[in-house]
Amino acid sequence: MEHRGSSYTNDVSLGSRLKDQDRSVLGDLYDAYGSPVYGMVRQMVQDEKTAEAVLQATFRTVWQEADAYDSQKTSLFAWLMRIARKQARQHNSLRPDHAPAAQAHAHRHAPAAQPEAVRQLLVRLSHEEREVVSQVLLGGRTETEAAQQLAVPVNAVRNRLRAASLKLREILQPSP
Amino acid sequence: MNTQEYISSGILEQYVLGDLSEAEAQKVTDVAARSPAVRQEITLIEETLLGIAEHLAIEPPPHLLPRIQEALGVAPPPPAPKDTEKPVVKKLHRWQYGVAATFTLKVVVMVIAAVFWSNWQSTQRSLDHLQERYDRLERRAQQTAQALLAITDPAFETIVLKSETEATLLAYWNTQTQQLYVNLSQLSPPAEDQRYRLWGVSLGDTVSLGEINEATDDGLPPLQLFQTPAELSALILDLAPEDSRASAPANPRYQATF
Repeated sequence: MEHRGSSYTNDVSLGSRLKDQDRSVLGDLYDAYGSPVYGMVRQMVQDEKTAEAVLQATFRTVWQEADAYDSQKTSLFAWLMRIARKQARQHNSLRPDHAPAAQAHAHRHAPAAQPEAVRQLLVRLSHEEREVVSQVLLGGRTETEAAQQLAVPVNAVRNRLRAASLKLREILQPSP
Repeated sequence: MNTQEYISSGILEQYVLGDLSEAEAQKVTDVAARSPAVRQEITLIEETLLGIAEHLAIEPPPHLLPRIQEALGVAPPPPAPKDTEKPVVKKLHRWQYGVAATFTLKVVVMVIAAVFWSNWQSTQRSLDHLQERYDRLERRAQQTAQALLAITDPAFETIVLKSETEATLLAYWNTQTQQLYVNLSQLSPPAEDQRYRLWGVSLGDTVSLGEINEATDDGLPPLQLFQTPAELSALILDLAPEDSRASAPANPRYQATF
């Protein structure tokens, strides 16, 4: 897989500058990962205004908690997404129509419409796998919340997400 | 649980997504530190997540990054000012330049048209004046030529009118046609409120032959034509007030008896 800004060297360099609080690194980090993070966040929240607020909060946290990043443990993008997912969940929990997950059902807080490219990716998955991917990967929910939404055991969510992850990896791998 | 079972459990996906508790996440970190296979699997899961995100990528609104940088106090410094501050000039759109140019062109054309109109009017007046002057001169030339031709006719007699100071005026009289030409070149112009009159004595009666015209500056010989009675024995030129209605010469200046 060939991804924008995904090289380990690039992450080490950006991470190092981030720890040094280099004023220019925020712009470079934003250029490298702003669009994919914003695209994912846009799936997790209901509207653009919330997505903008989540993206701002994400980069603010990245800057303020730069010391917590360890390039030996995780990639910069994965670290950014962890922060973004937490921010999205916090913003969703502040919504007036937010209801406890136990009372909510599959269509509550449905993620935004999926772009055609992602819809094609999900077509190769089973129905159960698509449900889990929509809830967890795209919806930003934890496996526990997804299990409650889908009314299935947590282990089932974890197993289905694992199976979907392997299929998606094959789909995304470039042909030899 | 061996490494493959650990990887297949799906815990690494939860680890990458950040959805494990701190304790669970720390355990995975410790395992990954010891197991290259686990470390590699984590990398693959991260790359898959990034692959999906790149399919979903949306360019954030352009105002977001400056807002974030400003909030964190890391906004890039504004571009350095140039050597000399140039005055701020409001830029005009191309259509505004077009409207201004059209308006300016219209004003210029109107001014030029007004100037040409004024010049044309002035030229027309000058032309009318010249035409009038030409017509007058032509008439005078014809009259003078006719007069000169006439006085050389043997039928014309030359009459000399004399003043008290022995100044003379010449007149040419045709006894057959009773035409009388008077040469006024020696006549001094009258005062503004006076006029010369010519009188003739015929059969003992004094009759008015007419007023002397105002002198002209056209350079032609001032020969004025009069018509006289058949019998003429004397000519008198007097000078009278402009409004005089006298029926006889009051103040003779020149006269001739023949």
